[in-house]
Amino acid sequence: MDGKRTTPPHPNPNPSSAALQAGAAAAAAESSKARMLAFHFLRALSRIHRVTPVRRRTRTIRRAAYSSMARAAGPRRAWSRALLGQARARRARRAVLVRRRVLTAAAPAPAAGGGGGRFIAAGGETSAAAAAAASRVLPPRQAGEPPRADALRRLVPGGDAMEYCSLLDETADYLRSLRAQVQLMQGLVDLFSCQ
Amino acid sequence: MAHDGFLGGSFHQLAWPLDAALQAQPHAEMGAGVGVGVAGGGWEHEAGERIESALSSLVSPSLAVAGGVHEAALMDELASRLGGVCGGLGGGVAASPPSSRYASCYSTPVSSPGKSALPVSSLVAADTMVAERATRLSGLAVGGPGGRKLSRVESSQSLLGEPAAMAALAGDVLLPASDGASRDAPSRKRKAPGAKTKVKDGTAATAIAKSPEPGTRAKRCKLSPDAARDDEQQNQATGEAGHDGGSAKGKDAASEPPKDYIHVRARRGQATDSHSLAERVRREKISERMKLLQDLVPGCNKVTGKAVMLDEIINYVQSLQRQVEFLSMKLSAVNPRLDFDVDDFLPKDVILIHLSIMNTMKKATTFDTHIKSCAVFSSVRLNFQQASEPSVPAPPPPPPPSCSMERPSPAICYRSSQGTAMQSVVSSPVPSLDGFHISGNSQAGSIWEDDLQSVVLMGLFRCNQHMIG
Repeated sequence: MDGKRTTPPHPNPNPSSAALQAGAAAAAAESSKARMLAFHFLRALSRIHRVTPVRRRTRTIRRAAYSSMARAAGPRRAWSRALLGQARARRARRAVLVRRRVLTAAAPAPAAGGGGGRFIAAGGETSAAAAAAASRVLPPRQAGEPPRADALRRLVPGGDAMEYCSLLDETADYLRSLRAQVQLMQGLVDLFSCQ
Repeated sequence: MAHDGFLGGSFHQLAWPLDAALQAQPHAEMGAGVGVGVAGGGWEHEAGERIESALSSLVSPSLAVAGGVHEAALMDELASRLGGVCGGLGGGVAASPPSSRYASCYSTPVSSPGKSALPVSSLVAADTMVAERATRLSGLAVGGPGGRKLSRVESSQSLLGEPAAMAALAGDVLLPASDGASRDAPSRKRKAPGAKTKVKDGTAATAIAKSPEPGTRAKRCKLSPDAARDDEQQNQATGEAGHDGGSAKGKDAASEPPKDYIHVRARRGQATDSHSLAERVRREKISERMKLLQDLVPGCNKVTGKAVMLDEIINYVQSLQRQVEFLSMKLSAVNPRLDFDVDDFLPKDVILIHLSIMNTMKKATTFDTHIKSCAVFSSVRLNFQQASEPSVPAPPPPPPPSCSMERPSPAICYRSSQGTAMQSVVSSPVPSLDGFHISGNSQAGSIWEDDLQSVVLMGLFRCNQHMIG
């Protein structure tokens, strides 16, 4: 993890088990970014398990993972901004749909109208997405960029609008965060499946 | 050429080493050329042999083509400095274009005896030896053009005295090449590191293409004694311009001032317009980033070349994303009784502590000890009377903690303890902590370090209870 490393916590006055202190020390050795990651993700996870029906959980958990990753990374990074922007757009789209559904339910409009509203909203979102996708076709502004960089742009969120040099930088940070996220999730899976 | 008069042009009659014998190994050629050149001044045959063996011992064979050609170019420069001593290089490395230039100048082959049998056996770069010899040689090199007054005999004898001086320089230049993946200061564009960068690029062609002129190599020769030092420095220095500049260019007249932006010096023979300069800077930055990525991606140390690296990076990112997907699938299927109310906790060490505890303690033994510790903590903090679980023999509650609790925290703890029935299912609503909002940042949590650790652990304890039961 990059950045801030906190000092080890003050000595625990309680003669608690060594495991606890070891755990505390280990936790303190991690950066605050890892803590933020764990916090956000766990919170989202608990909420998801409470709220979401089973069939859509995987997708939601995955999106929650990326969102927590982005939030832990902070707004300083282009990829985190892009991820959070995607999440926001998705939420807005769903809010629009829900609103339309509510409206159509409240006012007995014909189903076509409700469906049309949904399609319109979806169309608006998809057109925005299409515009974003079309902008990806913008030619690489640098000559020294290898052709494979296109695939990398697709992988890294927000990679379309970046120069090759900053793309590599963002990729490095994205990789670090991804690895932390995978470690966290793996730990959780181990934790919850150990019964 | 100017250096013709340096040694009286007698080198024209030098017999260049047998090109045919040396074609196979560029390094050998170069070494041979150097040795021959050095020895070609009418020196003893034994001296020449000694020189060659010393050279061969210094030149690494691993950098066969790339280094060889580059070294030939560098030797070019040495030739100009030492007045044709390096000319043998040009004659020796007949394959490389720059040397052909020298070959044209020194048309007559050297008829030095027995130079064909170059014992270029095992070539090892001896760093310290090279460094000191490079120092001596650079002294010679510096004195070379300036001190044209040096008689032929003097120069040749001094060179004889430094049998491996030439090789030292060659080896020195090879040093950065042999460093391989070591990274020099990326933001610094100096001539010596420029040479090293090019060598690290691994393509001699580009190196040669970028530095075709002897003039620039002249400056690089001067920097050669610093080059060895530069290496170690640049290996650590990433953007430390001033530091490198001060130390490396100590004796160089063209020292760049310490800076906070990138100084780029155009090499002689290169386009000096802003575009190419910026291009070069950009390429430096890109290679620096690629180095960083190489450290991040596991198993990429052996991979060289930007295309393969990029493929590796893409594969790694894809695999990580696939892992996230897979793990989220597993998490969705996993025990949904993850009901502990994380909203009550602050984003501090607490959760990670818990997780790390769980992770460090292996699955077989985890829960009992963990719950014990949780029980200890919770009982201590919250004056839990029912800390002793029927299932878990809790140790006697330790003495109350010495740390002071904040004013709201007892209320919080108490409230949370109220809603807690340790044996009950966690699905009972956790009491809402009204005055306690999750700020989402860790600043507010700094106050609550102890107390909320206890709260969290207690809460997670409940969760564990629930998960167990």
